[in-house]
Amino acid sequence: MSEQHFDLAIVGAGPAGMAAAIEARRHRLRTVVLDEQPDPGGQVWRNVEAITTRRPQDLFLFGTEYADGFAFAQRFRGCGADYRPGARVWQVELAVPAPKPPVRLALPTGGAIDTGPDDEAVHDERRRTGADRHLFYTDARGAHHVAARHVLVATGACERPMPLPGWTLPGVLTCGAAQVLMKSAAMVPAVPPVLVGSGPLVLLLAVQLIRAGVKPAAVVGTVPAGNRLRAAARLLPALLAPGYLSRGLSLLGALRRAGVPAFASATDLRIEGSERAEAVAFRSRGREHRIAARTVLLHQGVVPNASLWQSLGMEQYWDAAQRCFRPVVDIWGNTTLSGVLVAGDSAGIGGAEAALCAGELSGLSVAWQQRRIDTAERDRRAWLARRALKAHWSVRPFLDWLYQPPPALRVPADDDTIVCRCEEVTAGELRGLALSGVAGPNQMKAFSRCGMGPCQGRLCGLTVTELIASIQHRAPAEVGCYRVRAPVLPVTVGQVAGLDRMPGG
Amino acid sequence: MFRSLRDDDADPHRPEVTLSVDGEPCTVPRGAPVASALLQRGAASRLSGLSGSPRAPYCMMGVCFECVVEIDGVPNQQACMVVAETGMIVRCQVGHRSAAGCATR
Repeated sequence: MSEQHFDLAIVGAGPAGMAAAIEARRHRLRTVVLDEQPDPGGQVWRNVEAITTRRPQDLFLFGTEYADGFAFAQRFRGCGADYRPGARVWQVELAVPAPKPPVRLALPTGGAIDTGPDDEAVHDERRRTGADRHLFYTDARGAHHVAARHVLVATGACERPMPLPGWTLPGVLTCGAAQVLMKSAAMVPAVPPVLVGSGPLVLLLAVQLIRAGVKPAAVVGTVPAGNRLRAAARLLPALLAPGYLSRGLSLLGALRRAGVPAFASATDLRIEGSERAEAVAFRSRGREHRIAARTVLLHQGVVPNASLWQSLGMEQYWDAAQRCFRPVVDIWGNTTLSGVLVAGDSAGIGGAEAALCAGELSGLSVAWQQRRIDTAERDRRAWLARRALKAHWSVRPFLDWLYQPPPALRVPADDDTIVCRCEEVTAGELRGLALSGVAGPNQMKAFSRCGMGPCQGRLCGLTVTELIASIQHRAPAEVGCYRVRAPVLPVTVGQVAGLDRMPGG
Repeated sequence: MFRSLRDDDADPHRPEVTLSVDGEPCTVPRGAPVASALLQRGAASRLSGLSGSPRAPYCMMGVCFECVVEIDGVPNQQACMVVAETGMIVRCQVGHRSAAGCATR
């Protein structure tokens, strides 16, 4: 068996991917970890090794939860997994074609997970190579291929699209982007930025910028007043979650002490400028505001980075609180496709600490499925992680409802607002098509090119689903989403032609 | 536009790399993505292929493809996903894609 065959292939080296690798290696599974970043940590612990060792004076900017990532990354480095940084997976292929997904009612089944096709072809392939899931990826040297018996998708989250007038202008970035720049490039906005949106990251970034000496010109909150009521009903379980609420309150306190102008329940948002952002205009509490800003940082929560698992055609459902599609998984992360697991934020937003638990559980489940441990040992080892996972998830309903973006920021009311940045398709055009009765996102794509650009619908997919749903008075689950197909990242014909030989071939 | 976290007390020993962006030298810390150099300049780093509207890096995590540039002669590279190296030649892509897949003015 060549070195390209593994028991477990993990996509992503964030909290979930690293925790799964550490657990898998504890049971001596041959494990490969493919991650697109140059260093482990994912987005939440991005560049934590370099900052800890090369610019420790900057650690205070990011807080203790960030600093904790260093020890974890070190454990991951030492766990014995074949870690391949800079590896961007563009296709996962199952040896046996996945059964055609049934008509997607896409309601959470919650029931037993089908263990998948158990036919002769699977066993033949497994006998031949010991593995039957194939992963294709590109790195700086070209395209490569590995095979594994199990695949864990741990691709994390990405920021929810926030389509509003002017959001394509230079000078407009996401809050996540600003944080990446602080972590990876030691860079901050040259002029005080305006932060616009909702969610824990807006608060966290504002405080991190203040610590870095860049006091934001304003924080413009977009949480509708009604959200607080709906969230309040879910406050009690949230109090059981370790640390979340106190952390949030201390961030709010720091923001207030710094005297950052804050606006609540902003509506009618637009970013003004022709060649670049010049101002943010909005209405808050009945008054019009216009704040000059050459850097505008947007954020309205994160959603699963779903391209890879969606390309596999597993069953998914619409989460009405998180306003996104999630894969149907059991507590171990097993999906409706045999041998494929999803863990961490890519399976639904639970945060980094929940992702650590979920990754550990997935690692345990794979070890159990491959007969490295028996059921009793699996359950004994899983006990702590399962309990912690439950505690971390207990805060989510509160956060999900509190920070749920208002409808007008999920489906732009203004007809001229660009929804698809790549192909420059406006909300008005999509609304017209939705009114004329397009069947769903795929037909919308064919008619308008929306989602057909290089980002492959990552920045318009959820908007299109919700737009069709709202205009046609249908449930988002029924509307569905773009059919995601491999390659999920651009790859050149030359790279495909230069692929390593297939293992065993 | 973005600037270094420490403009005032710049550490002379800080590891840095210098690359060329549209012929101008640009210095970023070692390990930083190419897109951070584009954001130092503050202008649009490309004009969209359809309407020619100005665009610049947006998500910094490989999702949005707004930061695509030509790096060392290879077009359509996501600048946020490539670590900057000394001597890199980066060119902004302006306007329509040509048949060869390269940027044209």
